[in-house]
Amino acid sequence: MDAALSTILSSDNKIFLHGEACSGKTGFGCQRLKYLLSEMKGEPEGILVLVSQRSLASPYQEALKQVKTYRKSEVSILTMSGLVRRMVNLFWPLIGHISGFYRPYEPPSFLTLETSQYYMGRIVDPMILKGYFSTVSLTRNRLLSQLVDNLNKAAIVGFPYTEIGKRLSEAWVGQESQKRVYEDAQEAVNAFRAFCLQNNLLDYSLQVELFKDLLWTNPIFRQYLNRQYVHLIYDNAEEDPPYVHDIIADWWKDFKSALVIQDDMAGYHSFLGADPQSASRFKTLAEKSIHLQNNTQDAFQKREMAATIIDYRKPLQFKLEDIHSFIKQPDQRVRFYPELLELVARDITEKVHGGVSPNGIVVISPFVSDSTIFTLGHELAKNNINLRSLRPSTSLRDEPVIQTLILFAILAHPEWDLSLDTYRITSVLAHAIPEFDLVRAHLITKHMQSTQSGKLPHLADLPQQISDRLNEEQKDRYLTLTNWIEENKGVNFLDDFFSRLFGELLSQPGFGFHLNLESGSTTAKLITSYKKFRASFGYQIEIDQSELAKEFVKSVESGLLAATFVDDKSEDDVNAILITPVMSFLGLNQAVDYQYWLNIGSSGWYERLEQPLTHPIVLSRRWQVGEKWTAEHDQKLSRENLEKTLHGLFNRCRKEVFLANSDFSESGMEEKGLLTLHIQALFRRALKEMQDD
Amino acid sequence: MTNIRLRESQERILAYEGGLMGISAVPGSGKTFTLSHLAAKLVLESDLAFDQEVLIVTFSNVAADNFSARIGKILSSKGIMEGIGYKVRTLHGLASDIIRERPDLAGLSNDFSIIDESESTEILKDLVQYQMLQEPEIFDSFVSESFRIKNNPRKVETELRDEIYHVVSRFIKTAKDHLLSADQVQTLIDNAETPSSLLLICQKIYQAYQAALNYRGALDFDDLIRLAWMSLHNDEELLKSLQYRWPYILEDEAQDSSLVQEAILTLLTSKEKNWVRVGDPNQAINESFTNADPRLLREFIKRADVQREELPESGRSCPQIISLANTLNEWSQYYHPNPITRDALSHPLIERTKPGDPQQNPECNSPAIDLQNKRFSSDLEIDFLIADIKQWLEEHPDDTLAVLAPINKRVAKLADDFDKARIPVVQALMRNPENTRISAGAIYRLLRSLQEPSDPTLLSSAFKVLFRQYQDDEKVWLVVEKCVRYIKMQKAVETLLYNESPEFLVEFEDMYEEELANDFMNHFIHTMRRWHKATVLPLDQTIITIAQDLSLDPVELATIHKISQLVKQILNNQPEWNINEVINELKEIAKNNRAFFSFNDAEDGFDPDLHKGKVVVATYHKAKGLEWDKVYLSSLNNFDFPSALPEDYFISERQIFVEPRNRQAEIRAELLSLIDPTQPAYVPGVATMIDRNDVARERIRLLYVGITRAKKSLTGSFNTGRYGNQSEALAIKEIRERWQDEN
Repeated sequence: MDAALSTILSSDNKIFLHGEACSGKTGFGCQRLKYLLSEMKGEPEGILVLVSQRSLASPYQEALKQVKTYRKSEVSILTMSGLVRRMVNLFWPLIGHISGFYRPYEPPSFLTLETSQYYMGRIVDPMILKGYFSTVSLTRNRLLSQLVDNLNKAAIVGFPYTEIGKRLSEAWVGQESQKRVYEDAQEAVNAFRAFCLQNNLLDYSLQVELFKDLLWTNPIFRQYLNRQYVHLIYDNAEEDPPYVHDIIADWWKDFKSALVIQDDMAGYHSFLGADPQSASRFKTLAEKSIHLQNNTQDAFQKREMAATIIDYRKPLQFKLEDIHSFIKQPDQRVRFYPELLELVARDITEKVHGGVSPNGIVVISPFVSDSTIFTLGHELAKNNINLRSLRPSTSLRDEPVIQTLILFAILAHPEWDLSLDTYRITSVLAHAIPEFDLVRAHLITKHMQSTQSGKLPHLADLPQQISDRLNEEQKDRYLTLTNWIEENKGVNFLDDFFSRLFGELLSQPGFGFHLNLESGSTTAKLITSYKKFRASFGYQIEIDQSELAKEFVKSVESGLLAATFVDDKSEDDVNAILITPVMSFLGLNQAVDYQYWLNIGSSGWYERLEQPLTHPIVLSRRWQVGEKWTAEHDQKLSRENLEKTLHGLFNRCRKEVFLANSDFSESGMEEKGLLTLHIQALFRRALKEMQDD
Repeated sequence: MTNIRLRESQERILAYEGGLMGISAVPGSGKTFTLSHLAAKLVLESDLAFDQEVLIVTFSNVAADNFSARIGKILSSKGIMEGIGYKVRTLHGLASDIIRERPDLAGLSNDFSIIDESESTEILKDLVQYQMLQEPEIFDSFVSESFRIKNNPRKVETELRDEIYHVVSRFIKTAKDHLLSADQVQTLIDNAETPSSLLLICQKIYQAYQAALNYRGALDFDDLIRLAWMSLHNDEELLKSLQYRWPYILEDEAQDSSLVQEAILTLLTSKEKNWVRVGDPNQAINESFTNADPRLLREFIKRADVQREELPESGRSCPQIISLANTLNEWSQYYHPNPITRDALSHPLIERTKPGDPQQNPECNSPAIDLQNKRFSSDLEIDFLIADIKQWLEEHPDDTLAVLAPINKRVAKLADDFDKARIPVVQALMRNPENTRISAGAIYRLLRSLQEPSDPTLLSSAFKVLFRQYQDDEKVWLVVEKCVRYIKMQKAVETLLYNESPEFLVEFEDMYEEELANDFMNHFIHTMRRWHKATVLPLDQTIITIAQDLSLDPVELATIHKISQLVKQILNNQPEWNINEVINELKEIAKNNRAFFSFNDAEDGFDPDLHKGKVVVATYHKAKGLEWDKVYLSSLNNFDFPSALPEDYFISERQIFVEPRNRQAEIRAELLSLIDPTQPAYVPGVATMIDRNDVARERIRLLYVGITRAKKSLTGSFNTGRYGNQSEALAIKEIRERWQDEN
């Protein structure tokens, strides 16, 4: 660290630190944390470390581990939504009665994103039956998530939720008749809000509104906060929505010291409301503004390269060989995507066998499909290289242990009257009892199907010609399993049911998940999801426990619940190649040696997602209400996004970017998006200059 | 672009920087080479903006793929990304791209589908059949008495249906090539004085056919072209944006261009006027089954504003073969007894490459030219070929060799007889790739076996799918079939799949078979066990797991990936669906009832060099674009290669019809007379006579194509046909004599 930075580190100033990715900003934040703790001798002074996402807390947690003595109460590493939830819960008695809730003196139930969508579903389903939303073609889960997202946007951007429909409608330039869906959306969110107020349910939007409208304006609360936190370190401010910036800006004068860190050219979560423009206000509020930059020739060249790719009129500052030393392409023509994955696997294998550490390699794509993970994983596994995936959300329902738990729950609750798929029972049965095979499992399920009983037949009830085909061990296991289900029929507390099913049966010797630790932790996740689901009902909503359990199972099966849990597998195996969507990688704040870019012709590198019921820009603070969203806006946004993405990726790459390009992309199309066109233009110009020389 | 050695003629073309250019190329003159380098040069050196492309339009998917590969290779050798900055399209691909820009302009939704020729044929044949039932008397009136007497009613009916299908097909093609919808044709007919009953039938079927397409939300290939033109014509903005995107257009095989193709490319190039057209009018052999018209290219090249270039040098063939091809060219231009057909071929003559050229003409093998004048019967011609080929292969085991015949049926017969005579035959050019490609059908069968794993019949079907790559190997397939029968007989398949040491009680002819069967069974058992375990995965991943174990080419693998994505999408959108619904969906796709994306390149490129020492049998048409060391031209008689002289026979004049017998030509002429009132009124019979000349012209060109496939040696023979009354084709007789005189 240079001398100027060292001086700042130890000052009490309010500092705004910004710069490109990987220029040492978070490192400085960690040093600052350690410095503040080391200086705290007498009266403890609380430090609030605010990060935009939970995953970004780890450098600070690591830094704390290096501090020998400090009191835990002195440092809180939080996201703003964590702080909001904690405070609303704590100060509920102060605000409950003035916030429109029907039962303010009873504790509220906090909704997760999943449970919010579940309740939104209860509001929207009858509307769909009446013909609402008929002109949009969306799966139910997407429809629900976009409605919930609208409410959240209103809260974090700071406009009344009753204006959602109007804002969206005014920006629409398509067919007039399509505007009806915005009215439908408004009606749905109104009904949802009323339902929450009636039932003391706090979705994220209500939590934010209560916090900023009622708590933040309350002097007692402010006093409390000021006593709690004296110093602020706020990292990745650009990834937070504007309400967080409002709060911090208002709080600013009360902090003894403050350090706000911002990544230039970032704001990758703008579709979730991130607003870098709003975050940049701290530059003027701060007493000192510092710009960090990688000053190496290499970093300069990467910056220039990214800028020249975006602006194809910008004079070239480098030669063709400079580009080739950083941007690689396949050395042979690849026509189809699966072939490309094979080629990428071969190239990665060569690197790893040549001594490159697997955690220095990342494979990225705008979207990462299951089949890509599966195929690439398969190819790499042939050479004993592991692949780990990091995706914002993955569905638990696809995990074998979850399938087993859910299926046995249905078998143990015939009163739910849920349909069973013979193929699935066969496969789950064969998987749960390794002694079995798919053929014998099928003999049993075929018989079950013929009897139409909806339950696994008792061993004694199996026809002779089937039971003759089972050996004694198989019979024994089958009997244990059916007995267990019989004994646990009608257990409505599914946490108990799942926990015992796994503990007493599935994880026991002779059953499919014996010694399978990962399936144990997956079971725990399902149980947590169930508990949150049950908690969201609190005691305000009348629901029968059996009905609740059935609702949970149905929602898991439909992919609504247990579908958005944050995958933390990336922690599991650091000695593996990471595959992740580009936005998730950028959010990781980590540099690697080698990046493999898949699907480079896709527009997903820069285009916003088509969401017919919501719009991240129209519902943002910078949007001029009443303006129309046109194709020009889309083009401008795409260009801005591409610029951010390119800079972000180049800054996070130490050695080489591999453009994994095939004639036909994963979707089977010949895709030639902006990214490929811009890069090709760069190659062409460099070649021309070389020839002109 | 300086490190390749170019001929003068190629250099002139590669100096192109803009404007209109027309190039006449001779066979083997390096057309693809030159055009690929020109495209690469424009990508690299012209001032293309980042969102502009050089557009290359060619005739077939194989050619498009070949261009892409060549241009990509040149660019990647320069360190530039492949695939960007240029676009290679067939005309249909281009039309589809244009329509997809603004489907609403063509009255289509975003997800319109394109039906392939087999589906379109099926629809049309059904409609013809239906119409035959509706108006039997009218259909009866088309059939000649002599044909009816000679054949049973069933044969009359099927042949009539097939022939009328061809006539209707030609009618619809003509209408679409002139951009006329069924309704517009109806208006023309309403205003006509005495439309023929055949015309009325064709029009009824055209209307029903379009209704059938609309119902499916689909287009056929001809609609694609028609609607693309209409989109460009009706939407100025679209035209402008595409003119900007494609500032240079290079057109390959321009001799096969049709009126509407020329119209589309004229529109697209009307602003920048950068259009290079390359073709060999002497190789225009697609006129009779498409609306291709080689005159269009000739006229273009003659235009004053067009820079005229030639690629006359060819290093493909040895001097004697070049001389024979040129003899045919000159004879047909100056001495053909039927003066009307003297424009079949044109200059330039083929020139040998100059000393120092990277592609020197090969030396001839002996005999360089052997044109048999013996009157072989059909079978004796094959005997002659077998004897001659055997000797040739013995003497030249490392040479490539092809036998060409005019029609598929004769090709199949040749292949069959060669096989019996133990001559190694390659029928790759005859293969219908769709049949061998793994598809939804194969995945469907495998999933069915996983759905009902205790069913021995389904299990045996899975066995067949796993080893389907041996279908063409008779001996190995016999073993597969035996194993299949064995599996089917199993009462308890778990004893076969899950016993520790299963025994196979199958009787085999020899040790080889037994060992092979054991290997197959072991492999099958292990694979099935793995697939059984994979059932716990989500269905889309189960499909990919299965795919990893099948022997697949890249297209198949890519197709299966698409299927798995579709399954994933289905299950996301309909979480309540189970495997039954998904399997049914795959079944529908397999039966082609459900539109499903397929990769464009249905055909694989064919490389003769991979088949040295074997005999490739193919039609003359399929051989275009390829070359072999030794080529046999068969069936060179006056039936397959008529000269429009009184003693000739004419394939397109069908015995089933009452006069005039060339109903395809007649229907086209009648419709054209309605479309263009300035044309002379339609008189029955005239078109049949005119078409004789057109056929004669095309057949001369087909012969020219055949001759120019040979590099070192050429043998020709003819047979006297089914009734023993056909004679040697006039063109062959003439050039043989002239060539003998000269040499």
